[in-house]
Amino acid sequence: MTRIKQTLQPRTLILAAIVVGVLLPFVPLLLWSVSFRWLYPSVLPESLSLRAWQYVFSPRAEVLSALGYSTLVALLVTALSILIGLPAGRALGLYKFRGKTAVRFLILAPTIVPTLAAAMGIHVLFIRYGLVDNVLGVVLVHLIPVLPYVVLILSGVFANYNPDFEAQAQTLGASAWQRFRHVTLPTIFPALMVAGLFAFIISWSQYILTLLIGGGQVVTLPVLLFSFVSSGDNAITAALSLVFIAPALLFLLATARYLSGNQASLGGFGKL
Amino acid sequence: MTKVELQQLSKQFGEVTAVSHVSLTAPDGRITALLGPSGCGKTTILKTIAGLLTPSSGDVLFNGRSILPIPAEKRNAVMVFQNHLLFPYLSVGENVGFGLKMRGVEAAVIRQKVEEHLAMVQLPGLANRRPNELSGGQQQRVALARALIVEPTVLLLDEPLSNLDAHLREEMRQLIRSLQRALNMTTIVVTHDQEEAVLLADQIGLMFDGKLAQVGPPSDFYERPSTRQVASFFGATNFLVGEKRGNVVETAVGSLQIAPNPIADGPVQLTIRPEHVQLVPADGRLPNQLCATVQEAIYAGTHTRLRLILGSDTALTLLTSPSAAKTVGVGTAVHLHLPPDHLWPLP
Ligand SMILES: Nc1ncnc2c1ncn2[C@@H]1O[C@H](COP(=O)(O)OP(=O)(O)OP(=O)(O)O)[C@@H](O)[C@H]1O
Ligand SMILES: [Mg+2]
Repeated sequence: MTRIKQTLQPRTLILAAIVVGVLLPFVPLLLWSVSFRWLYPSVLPESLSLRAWQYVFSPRAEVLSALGYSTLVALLVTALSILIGLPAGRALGLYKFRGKTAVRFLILAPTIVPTLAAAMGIHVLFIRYGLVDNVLGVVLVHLIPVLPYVVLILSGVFANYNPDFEAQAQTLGASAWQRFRHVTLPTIFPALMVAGLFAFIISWSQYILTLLIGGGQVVTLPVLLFSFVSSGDNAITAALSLVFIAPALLFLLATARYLSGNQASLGGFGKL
Repeated sequence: MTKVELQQLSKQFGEVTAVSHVSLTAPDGRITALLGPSGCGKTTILKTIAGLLTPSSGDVLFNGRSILPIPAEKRNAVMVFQNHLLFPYLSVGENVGFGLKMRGVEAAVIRQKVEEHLAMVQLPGLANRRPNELSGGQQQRVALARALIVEPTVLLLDEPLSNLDAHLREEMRQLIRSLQRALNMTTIVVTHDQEEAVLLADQIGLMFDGKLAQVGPPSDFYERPSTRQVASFFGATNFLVGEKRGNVVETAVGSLQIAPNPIADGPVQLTIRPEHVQLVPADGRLPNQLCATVQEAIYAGTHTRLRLILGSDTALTLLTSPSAAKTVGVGTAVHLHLPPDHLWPLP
């Protein structure tokens, strides 16, 4: 009994520290969102009010519509980036081909080059093809910062992948789809979760690209949030920030078990 | 019931020729061993039969019909890979039942067949374990059960014993033999170990550098090797250079009689296995008697290996019983008899 306690204790402590560390920054936000008057020397707000929250959930604030846009865009970006990242990651991780280093560099380039610079050029192109002021254009432009991470994570898992497992399944009678469904997918599933998490969160927090390509028509949460930041209403900004952070946090918690350090899915980062 | 034929099979990987013009027939219901040193193209041939590789030229026939147009998943030629490749995210039972699940067989039927096949490889009741909870030998047997459950037309085994220790090897070898006999399944085994091939197979195809050197029953490789390389691979160490004329070969240590054989007259190398060289008392009545000096005696438990020198520089090795070897110390002169029907000429 005592031995179990001893081995458990450090772990529980570390876990508690992490929870506190992650959640502590939200306490001021929470307090701000319900404060009515909170002036400098006082530690806590002098009076409380639900005004900010009432406003946030009123139709006038358009928060729900922004939440809808953000979710739609992030989910589409996640799906699309995995659809592209899967074959790209497999090619980069598994096969040798000429110009592989160049391709790897090109895929990583968006993490080095300021996306805004690229987006300015793309903007002109998007206008020509009618991809501005709509969700499709925003989704496509989000792929620029998202794809490098997705491809990197997936090429990492394919670098440690043994294609003989697929060959084995094939001689046992598995069709191409069955090999993907019953061999590839279960093997790379943790990496797929991590890549999806990155894609979702990166898309979720885009501001400038959305503003530029969405042209004020696609109002996602960050776009809405910034308009309140500049308005100077701290309570509403705080409430909105919490609405902004909550889904991303939920998504993170749902996939956190795939983020542990010993996952092969994170191998890609070792290669950077 | 399938006869497998390879016709002039070749496979290139870019510049590398892995397999070159191999023609071989694996008879129906028998075990054929593909034997050869590492990198000689054995796995490449197996994968080509399975359909995982496309040959550069040549053909693969099952019962006289080319199967090259048929994709691997439809050939029912099941390969068991060298490192068994059990799916780590599935239980042992799900691994064994994999092929049936791919064929859309009902779950209840699969469960029953999985139990049957686990029992067949002597692992009853382990269906719910994870592959990593099994020993190496058990994993190998699960991989075998996973292949057998789909009743393959051809079973392709790549080095099935290579990851096992000596004791487990023996067990696995007997299991493969008895299952193969019971199921009467055409089987092709790849191995680099000549002893394993001899113990396991009805027929051996020996390969060097992508080419087939000799095909035949195991005894042929001891009694009638086709080249010096084949003879050496099977442990022959004695080679005497000479000139063959009829049933007599002139060598540096004298003229030797040999049994009638189909090799053409001219320069040959005579080979005789160490176990066939006899120590005899000095009398003139036997043919092919030679004098030699003992250079070294190596005790190996069940036998002793004597290294001898004939004439100025011809070396010979012979195996004798340890008790017989006691009478001949290093440096003593001995008389040898090379029985004519064990002297085999190599071109
Ligand atoms: N995919 C490939 N690409 C390029 N060369 C290959 C490929 N597969 C095999 N080779 C080459 O072909 C030759 C034969 O390989 P193979 O795997 O068939 O040998 P093997 O007889 O099975 O050897 P081992 O006993 O070591 O398994 C080797 O020289 C190998 O390097
Ligand atoms: Mg091999």
